[in-house]
Amino acid sequence: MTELELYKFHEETFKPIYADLIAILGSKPEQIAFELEAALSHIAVAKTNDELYEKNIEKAYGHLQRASLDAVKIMWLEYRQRAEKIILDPDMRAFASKASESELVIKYQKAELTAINARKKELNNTGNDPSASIPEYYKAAQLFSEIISLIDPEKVTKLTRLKSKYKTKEVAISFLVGVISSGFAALMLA
Amino acid sequence: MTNNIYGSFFSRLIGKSVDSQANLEEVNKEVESIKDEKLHIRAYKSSAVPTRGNIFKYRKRDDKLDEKIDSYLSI
Repeated sequence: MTELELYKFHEETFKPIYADLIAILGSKPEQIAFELEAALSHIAVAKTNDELYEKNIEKAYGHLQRASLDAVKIMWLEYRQRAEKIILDPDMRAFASKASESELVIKYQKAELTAINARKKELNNTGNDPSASIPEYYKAAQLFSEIISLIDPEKVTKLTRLKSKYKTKEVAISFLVGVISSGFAALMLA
Repeated sequence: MTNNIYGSFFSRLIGKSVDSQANLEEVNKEVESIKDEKLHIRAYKSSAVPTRGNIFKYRKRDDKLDEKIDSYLSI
């Protein structure tokens, strides 16, 4: 690992992934900040102590890899959670999507499979190459994001409103039935 | 020049290329201008923070990130 390779990784992998993550979340996850802090500290040691140079450049690279991996995993998790709300709701799948239900389910399965492969790759490379699974996690996040883009936000709002109205009616009817039944029972007992 | 597979979300959500951002500070500023608020450092859903390089007790929450991923993926 050379210093130039470390900086190239920062520019070509970490920076765009970080940009993606904060654009999605609108905040900076603290684990990314911690990794950057640690990486910077190792670079400072490397640049001020020749004997520890190589070891610390390696360590800085490790922290940057971990920061990128954490960022891409959070991106995936965020989109996965957003997509799950739609996929697990049969009404949303059926009435709020621009695509057919089967198309949505196929896309969801593909995204899940990609994420499973990413996780397996991550586990297989633990302690060896922390960044090996980054492209797969990124792809999985993109696939979940595609699912979300198939959902019509206006339809979601209308559907949510309709469901809420239906539930209110249901509760009101149940309440009325309860009141009438108890009134009737009271009359019978009298 | 960035690896072209990364940065697609930023381009779509912010409307600018990551390549045109010289550093992380510029990236932050672009997001802040679109969101119209300062970026804050937050624990991701309070459930995912690593302990690496940090003396505080965050490992447990970091483990939960992987646990959550594994439970979603049934691994």
